[in-house]
Formats: sequence, C-alpha cells, structure tokens
Amino acid sequence: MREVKVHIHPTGPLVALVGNPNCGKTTLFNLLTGSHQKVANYAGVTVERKEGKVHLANGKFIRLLDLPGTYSLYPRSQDERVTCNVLAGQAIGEKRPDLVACVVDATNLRRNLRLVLAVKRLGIPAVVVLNMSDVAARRGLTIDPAALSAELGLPVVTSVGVKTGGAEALLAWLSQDTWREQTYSFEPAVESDNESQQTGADHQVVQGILKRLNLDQLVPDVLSDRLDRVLLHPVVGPMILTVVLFLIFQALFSWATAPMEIIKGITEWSANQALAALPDAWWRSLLIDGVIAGLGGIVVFLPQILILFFFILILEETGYLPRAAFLLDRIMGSVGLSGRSFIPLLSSFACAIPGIMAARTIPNARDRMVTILIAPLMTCSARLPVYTLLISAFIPNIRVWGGLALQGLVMFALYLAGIVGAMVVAWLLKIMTSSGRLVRPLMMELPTYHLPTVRNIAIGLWQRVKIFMRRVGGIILVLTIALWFLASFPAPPEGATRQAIEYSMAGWLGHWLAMVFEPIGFNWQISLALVPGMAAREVVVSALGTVYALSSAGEHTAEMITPIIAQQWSTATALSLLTWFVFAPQCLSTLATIKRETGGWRMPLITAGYLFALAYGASFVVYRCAVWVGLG
Amino acid sequence: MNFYRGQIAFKRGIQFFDVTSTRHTHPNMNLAEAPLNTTWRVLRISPTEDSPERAHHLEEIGFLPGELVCVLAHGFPGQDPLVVRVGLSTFALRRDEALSVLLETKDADA
Repeated sequence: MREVKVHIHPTGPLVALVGNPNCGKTTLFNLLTGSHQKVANYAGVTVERKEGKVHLANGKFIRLLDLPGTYSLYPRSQDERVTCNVLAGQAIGEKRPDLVACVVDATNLRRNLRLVLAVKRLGIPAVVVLNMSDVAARRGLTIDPAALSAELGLPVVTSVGVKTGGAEALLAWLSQDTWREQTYSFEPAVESDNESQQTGADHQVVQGILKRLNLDQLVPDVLSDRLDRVLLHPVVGPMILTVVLFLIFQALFSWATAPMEIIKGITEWSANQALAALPDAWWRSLLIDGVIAGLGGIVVFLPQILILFFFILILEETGYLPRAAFLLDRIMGSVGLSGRSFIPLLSSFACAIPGIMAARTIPNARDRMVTILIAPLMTCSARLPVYTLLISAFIPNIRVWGGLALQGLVMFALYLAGIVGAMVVAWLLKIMTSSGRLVRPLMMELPTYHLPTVRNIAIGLWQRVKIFMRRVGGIILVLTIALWFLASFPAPPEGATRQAIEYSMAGWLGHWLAMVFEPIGFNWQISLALVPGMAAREVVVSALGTVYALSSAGEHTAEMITPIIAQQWSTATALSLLTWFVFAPQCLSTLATIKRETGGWRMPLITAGYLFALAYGASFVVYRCAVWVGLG
Repeated sequence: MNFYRGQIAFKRGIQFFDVTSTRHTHPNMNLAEAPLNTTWRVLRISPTEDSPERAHHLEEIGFLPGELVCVLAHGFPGQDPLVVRVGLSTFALRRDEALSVLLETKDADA
C-alpha cells in the first residue's frame, strides 16, 4: 500500500530569499522579520531553511523563507540542495514560493546577477534586491535601479541590510497588492541543457548588462587587499593567527576572575541566607546542597563562556575566519581534510551541535563524515566549567616564562590536546581509506573585511546568556535535583557508621561504576558525577558539588567544592579526569544530532565507541604515568 | 620557465599543454603558475579526468572566459593553496584546482 502524504501549508504568500553566499540574506531576513538568526561574515552560515513572518503596512503578512546561499542552481553540497529543492517546489512540507527575492551584493554584480538569470528561467515571479547598496555607493559604484530593472526585466529595489529601516523599499514593494499578478517579460536569451554552456552564456549576458550600465570596471576593496597582504602572508599570517588564538586563552582566565568572584560571592551569600532563614528540613538540604550548590557552581563559569564567544563573534564578524581556514589548509590537508572543514570544527568550540550541522556546507561526502566524526573532539564551551574547576584546584596560579599564566597555558594545552586528537583520528582515517588520499576541493570565498558592529556582538552575547541560563534553569536544574534525591534516599540505617550518601541509590550506583573507572583513577564520587554529565557536561561540576556537599558532614556551604577536591583527589586523578574530558563522548544531544545529520545509527555508534575507547585509553596512560612519577 | 612548467607536468603526470591557445604570448599559462600580483584573463577551464565536476564549479564561482584574475597570495609551504581575485571576488583555491584554469595575457581580446 502506498502512503500518500498530504501537506497542509499555512496561509499567506510565501517569499523566498535567494542569493549568493554571504550577500546578506539572513541580515535582511532578521531585519524584515525581527528575528535573530545567526549572521557572520563568511559563506555558508545558513545551512537550513528558516521561516519568519513579515507584517506589511497594509495589515497583511507574508511568510518569508531564508535559504542557504548558492552560486548556481546546480547544487554541490547539502545546504545548496535545500535552496534548489525549495525553488523546484520539491522541499518536504513546503510549497513552491510565490515570489523569489533575489538578494544581490551590489558590490559584486558580475557574479551575483548570473544567479538572478537562473532564477528568472525558473519562471517564478521574482524581485531583485540590491543589498549592501551603501557599501557600493561608498566605493563609487552608482547603480541605477530603473536601468538595471529594464535590463533584467525584473523589478529592482535597493536595501541596506545592516541598517534599521534599510529594507523600507522592499517592504513598500511587497505591500503593493499587484506583485502577485505581475507578469514578467520572460525570454531566456540562451537556454541550454549543458551546465557549462549555460553558465558561460549567462556570463555574457551579465557582461553586456554591466557594460551598458557603465558598471563593468573592477573596483575592489583596497583596505581588504591591504589587510590580506599582511594577514595572509606566508610567514607573518600564521604567526598572527597563533598569537590571536593564544591571547584568547590567556584572556579566558585573566579577564574572568573579577566577575567570577562576584558570582561566587552571591552564591555563598544566598546559601548562607537560606541556611539561616529556613527551618531544618529535608527540603532545606535540597535547596542548599542541590539547587544553590549545584547551579551556583555552574553559573560561575558564565563569564568565561561569554569571553570565549566574544572572541569567536569578533572573528566571525570581521571575515577573518575563512582566512584562518586558508592558513590552516595545508595542515588540514596533511590529515586528509580541507580548509572547508575548519569552520564547522571551529563552531564546535562553542558546541558540537551547530558544528556538526555546519558540516553540511562540505561538498565531499567523505570529508563531511570525517568532520562530523571528529567534531566532538573540539573542546566545546560546556567543558570549560570542568576544566576551570580542575585547573584552579590543581594547577598553581603562578606565572611562568615571563608573565604567562600557567593556568591559561594548561587550558591552552587541553584545547590543543583535543585538536591533536582530532587530527590523529583524521589522519588514521586518511591512511586507512583509499578515498582519503584524494585531493579535496577548496574553492572557498574570502569575504571583504567588515568592522564588527557592537549591536551584532551584543545580540550574539545576549543570546548566549539566554541559552546558557535556559540550560541552567532547565536540564541542569532537573538533573541536579534528581541527583540530590538519588543521593539522599534511601536514608542510612540506624547506627550507620559511614556517611549517609554511601547508603543511597547514588552511592550504590557510584560504587558500582567505580569498578569500571577505578583503573583510570576515578573514585566513586567522580564516577557517579559522570552519569548526569551525559545529558549536559557542565552538570558534572554541579553533581560533584551535590555529592560532596552531602558527603561533608553537616557543613552546608556552597562553593567549597574546589578546596575539597584539591584535598581529596590526587593530582594524578585530576589529570586523568581532565584527559577523560578532552576525549569522552559525554553528550547525548551531540550523538542525537549525528544520528539526525547522517540518517542512521551507524555514525553515532561509531563516534561513541571510538571516543570512549580513546578517552579510556588516554586517561589510563595519563593516570599510570602520573602515579609513576609520584603524583598519585 | 618552460623547465619549471615541465617539472610540474611531470610531477602531476598529466598533459596540460594545449594546442588551441598558442596564439597569445603565454600560450600555456595557468593560474597555478601565474606570478603573484599580475593580472591575467581566463582563457578557459580545462576539465580534468579525475573530477569533471570541478570545471563546472570553478565556472560557477566566476572563473569564466574573459574574466580578469590575479593571484594575491600563496600558502606556505609549497605555494598551496592560493588566494585568487576573480572579477571582484576573492577565493582560496588549491593549487591543483588552479592548474585547470588556463590563462591568456590581460590585453588579449576577450
């Protein structure tokens, strides 16, 4: 029996934003719909279709689709396929758009207009949006929209996506009720089945248009070229990149100290207030040992996460990221990957989930799989709290080698360990598979540099705060409370000699798990804390807080986890745990994303298996070596 | 110069000497060998057997006959990858990719 799917589409006309990568579609989308989709200055930020509602002046509304950028309607990668499918009316759950808004970068018409011609051939009503018209004007390019409209046979409006009110002209045009009935002179100059001939013919047409509009001179961005001469220099470029990355990790520690102290102070104060004000009941322990000790222990790391994102946002906004990918291409190539994998991998430093999704921009299927496979090895921001906790407990706060903070250096080393681990895995895959030795295409656009806007950075950081606090108030809170219950019940029998937690379910589970983890130096408290860490890595910190708060006889103080572990754990255990965190497959949502992106259980199972083996092996070696040199 | 080109062709084991383009002063120039910061015109893309898709892809991002191109930077080591200006866009290309972009002198009529 055949199943017939019936899709019921929401009402309202559907308008799709189509254009070359990085021409400002998402910026325009955000401006029109008031949403905050991620934008950055490189090609391939948007990898899936996003929908928003635009309210028009006449009281009506349209549905607006933001689509991944594409150079042509012959898709090469998964994200480009999304766009082509929508335009062909083949996208699942979406009708063919009623109107295509062809967004073109006004500073680069020669490349952008070819896509407009291709869209026009599809026969869907279209409007051309000359975006970045302000930048074009500043470079001395005067584009006459009326003349361009006459040449293309399509209506043309101008816009400035980055300015409030920059899309007024487009809004006004969309508000006219007539656009749906409008017919366009549709006479394809040349139509060919041959991809190459078609592109060439379109190019001729565009050349002709530009010549007639007196726009065929090349006006490059001089400042970008000057910057590139330094930043892409074969020797100076990599040095600058190293210094930039190094400074970020130094700043992670040195800038965060003051705000972290403040948050710590607030947590301790509220714990003490609660202790004094509330009656001695079981739920007081839940509130203080569970919620305040647990959540306070995680919120304290918010400043560091924000500092990390501040730098990532600046790198993204300026357009430096693809340059970094260019500089690292040779290194990536030596392990069988291309610079194309760099941006997905870099996104994974924030969180592996957007990183794995960004891998859609990689045209080569094998490279995409390898990138997905190693993305979890990039140190995501959820690992930061764990690293910081252990580093501040076990690594002395001293300066070495002329003023470098030792703690910052160790942090840098941990990030590096993840990267090196990922490279080794990629290299092994390269030598083990025949397709790994083929040369990978690069063909990556290097955008014009832009000054980062304060507004975009502020929005980006604020979104991070929201995501983080939602995690803290949601999954982390739930897990923390659940762990408190597990660790408090059943209550110890009469005349118990050991601490109460050891008789609880959590104590039993911890001791059982400790049999597995004992060879790599983890005690039962750590083994137990790793379990809720599967749902969110940061929870390991709060879980340790809860477990130790309940273990310590009667002293209800949040934020004393650092001295406790410094006293109770050997340095070998701490090093082993740090190593575990570099490699371990601890995040269930990452595995779920891999399953979704690869469409099967094979890849997530492979990922979880190899990461577990790698983490266990590496921790074992580190622990045994540390014990052997006398740190046990 | 000829010696150098021969070396490259030998190393890659492919034939890229091309009889149709001998009318210009640099008959067999390609993007991978163009000196830094010199402007050339794209003659055509020579499709390679191992990846026919690549030629289309290069055309789509703007490497079309008559377009002005200029190599802005080389990677290190081995002058790979390259930063190339084509028209008004800047792309990072692998040396291998640049080899299939055949060039003619700037003043040749497009």
